[in-house]
Amino acid sequence: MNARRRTALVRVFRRRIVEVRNQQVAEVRAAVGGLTGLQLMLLLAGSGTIVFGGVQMLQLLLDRTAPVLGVGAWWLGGPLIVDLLVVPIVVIAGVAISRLVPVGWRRDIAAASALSLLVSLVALPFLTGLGRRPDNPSLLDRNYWAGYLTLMVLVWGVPLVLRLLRRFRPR
Amino acid sequence: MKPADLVPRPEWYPARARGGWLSVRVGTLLGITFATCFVTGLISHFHQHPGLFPLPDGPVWGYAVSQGIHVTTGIASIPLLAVKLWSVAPRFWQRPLVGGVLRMLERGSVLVLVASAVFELVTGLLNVAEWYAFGFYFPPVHYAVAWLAIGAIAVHVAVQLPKVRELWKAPEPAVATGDLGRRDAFRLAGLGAVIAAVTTAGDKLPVLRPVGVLSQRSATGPQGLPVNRSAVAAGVVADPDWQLRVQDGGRERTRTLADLQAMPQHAALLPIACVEGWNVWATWEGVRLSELVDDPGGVAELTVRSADPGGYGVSTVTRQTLNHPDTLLALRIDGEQLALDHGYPARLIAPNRPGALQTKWVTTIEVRR
Repeated sequence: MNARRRTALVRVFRRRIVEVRNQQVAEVRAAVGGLTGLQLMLLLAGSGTIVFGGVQMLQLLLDRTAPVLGVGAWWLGGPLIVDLLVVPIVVIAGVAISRLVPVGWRRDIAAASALSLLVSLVALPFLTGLGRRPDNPSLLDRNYWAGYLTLMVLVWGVPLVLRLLRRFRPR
Repeated sequence: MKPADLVPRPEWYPARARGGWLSVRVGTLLGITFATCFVTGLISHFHQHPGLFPLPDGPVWGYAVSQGIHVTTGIASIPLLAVKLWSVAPRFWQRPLVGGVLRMLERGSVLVLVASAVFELVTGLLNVAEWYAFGFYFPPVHYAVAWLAIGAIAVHVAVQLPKVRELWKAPEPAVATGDLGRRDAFRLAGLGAVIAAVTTAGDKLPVLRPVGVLSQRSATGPQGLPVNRSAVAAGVVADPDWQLRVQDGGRERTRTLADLQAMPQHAALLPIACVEGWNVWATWEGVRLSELVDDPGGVAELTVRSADPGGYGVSTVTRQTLNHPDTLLALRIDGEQLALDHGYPARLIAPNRPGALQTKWVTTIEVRR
């Protein structure tokens, strides 16, 4: 490549950078210009708060109160597990219900399944009993499986009973 | 087929009940629970770091209520956040995946929001279940990420405000006959939140104990009072030669258990209110802390030290708390000598104070003027 050709290429490249920059600046300006006062206030307060939290986090990471890998994995792990694993499974389960369950039962089955999942999310850490300690029997002192199964019987039983009542109710 | 075609698209998710109508309604509820959880969390932080922000020494049930609300709103947020994330899930795949500066800022703020919100709820719930799977010291990390979460919520509300207004007025879009509708999904989110709150609140409100099947405690324990840190965990054994040392300036004064029992005794009905949300009330009897130091009005603060060498073996008492008539060095619970797990021979008990600061197995009181 001769020198003249190179200069020409560099000029084109520079022009493109300026173009993209101007376009991005215009886009951001237009977006900010379209904001109401309340939006702008929330945006500034929120960004400031994120920076404040970020500085606190950085201090914990630097003074080794918080391990970078441990905290990073638990922080990033949330959205990754939700968006790439849990939601796809739930979506597939939902499709399966709509394909396999007769139309008259669909709403009840979907509702009971969803509610079971929501309650299970909260119940899980108690059900494992992994927080129990032999020196402290007053901690986690309930029979969580019995309670959880009772909840499940209610979640699935109540819609069933309601259906039966509806069926046998005199018209 | 290009590799880009393998990246899922929003259209791949069947519409059904999810979408804006549901997202803004569940999102509004989440805004309320997270804001409440944040404020009560701050109160708890200020309690544990005296001097940052002045807190009143009453009402005596103050911390029991604020921390009960903190844990309960956090737990109730779990089903709400799950439904919300399900409702907005297709947006994760919206094109452009990366885009320009504006798009990157928007995605970045949503990443901070989702990561921090999930982090707070998961670590908080695991901490209540005392399942320390995350392996780091919980309080400072939970505190720092709370600021990230609440800041990202404010940014999110700012960005979505016009859409929120519009969608709150919008009629519920219909779904296929027999399918779960948006209103159904909204009700399920709410019902899930109520079930989560009620079943875990049996250790906060005694009336909920029978239905509190997922509660961390049910008020068992020595003398009918739960224990958070046992004597075994703290490595403390009953010491027959125990003496209380009060260090004030260069002077040190020691008192035996018999000396303390010979002093005027006071009783106070106070709750033990744990950072993990539970509370149990008891009648505590012992010596007023202010009667153990000279000129308590001139004290800046006290440091109370325990035979427990761990981080919870020391706490600070402000002048205000020291001079409260219900602030005791307790020797008895409901008329009985303290069980070793409750801090025998003597423990600190004061109104409106986290249980972690009600130091057990007290050995030393250091006075600063």
